[in-house]
Amino acid sequence: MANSGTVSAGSAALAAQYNNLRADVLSATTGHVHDGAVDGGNKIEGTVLKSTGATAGYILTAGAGGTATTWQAPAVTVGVFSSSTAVVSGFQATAGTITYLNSDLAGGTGVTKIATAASGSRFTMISSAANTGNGTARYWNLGTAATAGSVNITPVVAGTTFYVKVDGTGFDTGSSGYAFVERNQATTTGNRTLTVRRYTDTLATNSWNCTIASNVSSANYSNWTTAPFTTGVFWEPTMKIWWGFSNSDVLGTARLYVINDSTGTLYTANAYVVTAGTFVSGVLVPPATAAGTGTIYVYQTSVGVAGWATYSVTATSITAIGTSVTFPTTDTTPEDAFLWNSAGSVVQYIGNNGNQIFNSSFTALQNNTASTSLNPWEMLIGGKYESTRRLGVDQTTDSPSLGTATIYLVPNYDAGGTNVFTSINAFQTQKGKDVYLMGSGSATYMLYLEDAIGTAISQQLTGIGTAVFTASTAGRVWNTPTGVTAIQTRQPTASVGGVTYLGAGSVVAVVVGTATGTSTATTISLA
Amino acid sequence: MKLFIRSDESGNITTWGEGFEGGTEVEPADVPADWETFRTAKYVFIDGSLTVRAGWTDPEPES
Repeated sequence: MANSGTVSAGSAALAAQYNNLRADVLSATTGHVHDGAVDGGNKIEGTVLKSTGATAGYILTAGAGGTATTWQAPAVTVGVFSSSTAVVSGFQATAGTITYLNSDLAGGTGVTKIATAASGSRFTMISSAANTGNGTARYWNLGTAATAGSVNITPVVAGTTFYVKVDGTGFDTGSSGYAFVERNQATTTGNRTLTVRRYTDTLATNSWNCTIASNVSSANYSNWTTAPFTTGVFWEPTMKIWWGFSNSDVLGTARLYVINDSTGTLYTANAYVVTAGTFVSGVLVPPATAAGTGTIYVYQTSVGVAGWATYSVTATSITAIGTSVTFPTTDTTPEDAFLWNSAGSVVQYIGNNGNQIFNSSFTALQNNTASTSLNPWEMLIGGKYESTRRLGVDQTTDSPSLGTATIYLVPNYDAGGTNVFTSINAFQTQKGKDVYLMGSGSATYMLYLEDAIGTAISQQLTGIGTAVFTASTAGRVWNTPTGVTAIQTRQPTASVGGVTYLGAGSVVAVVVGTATGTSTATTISLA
Repeated sequence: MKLFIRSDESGNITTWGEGFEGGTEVEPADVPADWETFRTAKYVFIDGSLTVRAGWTDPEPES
């Protein structure tokens, strides 16, 4: 009988038939697959094992034809950065005279992370216009060149001369919305306003607008740079509030504000009432439940009034608690504050001569006022929280020139652990930007983006999985992500750019653009 | 488009938009044609109606 001949029940098998059957099952050249398909006499690939040339998705591979018995694992590519680039155009606003795209200016966060399960990762770009123009918000789906949605934001107050500056964004993952901030003034009417404007995630519906400052009068007013401003609007997902700080003008009183996402209702409290140069910032430690009470730690960035203030905040209230902790007296230039984890973790404040760390009860865990390792421009950049360790990047240069970035690891940070520094030279960065730590543990990588037009470089950090950071350069891997060139992460003369760390997935979005030209959006992630 | 408005005791508009809890809906026929241009600067919201603010003067046309 033939190899595949039909055999009836009860038929006796001759020796030759038996041998043919064996060949049918076992022969690599004349055997058959057994799924009914036309075959070439080869084995069927399993779902895990692959018979030829696997590069990904398989644990083991075998030689071609299935005859080889040498099994091997595919090459490991973990740690190599990959990129996805979409050249997008049309960043220009549709009306007005374009001055710049607001991605990295004046505290704006024009490139905003946004990720939804339904539509995938997106980023937004907000353009501003001056002199009778509108602000425009647009968004793109990552990897797609075409604009996915946009909206022109008509000024709240019109006048002979008005300026619109849309800056500050947030994204609500719970009910899918954006909140933009619009600064506006009209010289004819004398009105100056500051409005938080919420849109749905497709930018199709203007859910609400909430004016947090209006009809502002100030002898110091001259142009939009002294119009009311805010630190930006931040989203808190547990209580579902937007919050931030506003100033009526650069010389005015700073206020803390909260806006209920459902009702668009504004709640405010004076953060500090002080003299010229007041500006405040802070961090919010959320409650465990939506009905709980969060804590906002406020610190002032101007000179002369040292201290932290704390506020209780819910979705419908703000209550001042008081000033609890003062700055180091030698600290004349408070820099920034960070919330290292969510509820229950610590708040860190960085000054020019102080490094304070508090737990969620506002108990000072570390008050390092004598560190000579922390220089006046120390910044935590792309900090990571891993178990009890903190890992950060400390940049020493505030100008776009060659400088030094210091990687530091702090074991037992919550308990006031001692900093461990490792210096890495020849970084060209802007203070506080463009260095990101990705991955975790011993597989932590640092992505470094040059400040000017250049290339993106990644560096693998080794030894950080242990308590002490390894100072040796051995094992570090530098590579240029494929297709990532000409990254421009800071606003130069005629172009703008922005980098946003997307966090989850260790992705960075980069946007490069000119004032009226095309731009490129790139994501970089660990392969 | 639905327009919802919330105002303070003086009629100053504090919140407006297409949909939020607690706002008062304004009938489309009652929304002034220049609402989008002037909004909170020109109008106050009293007894459920948009009214031109006392003393308001439209700005000079752009030259």
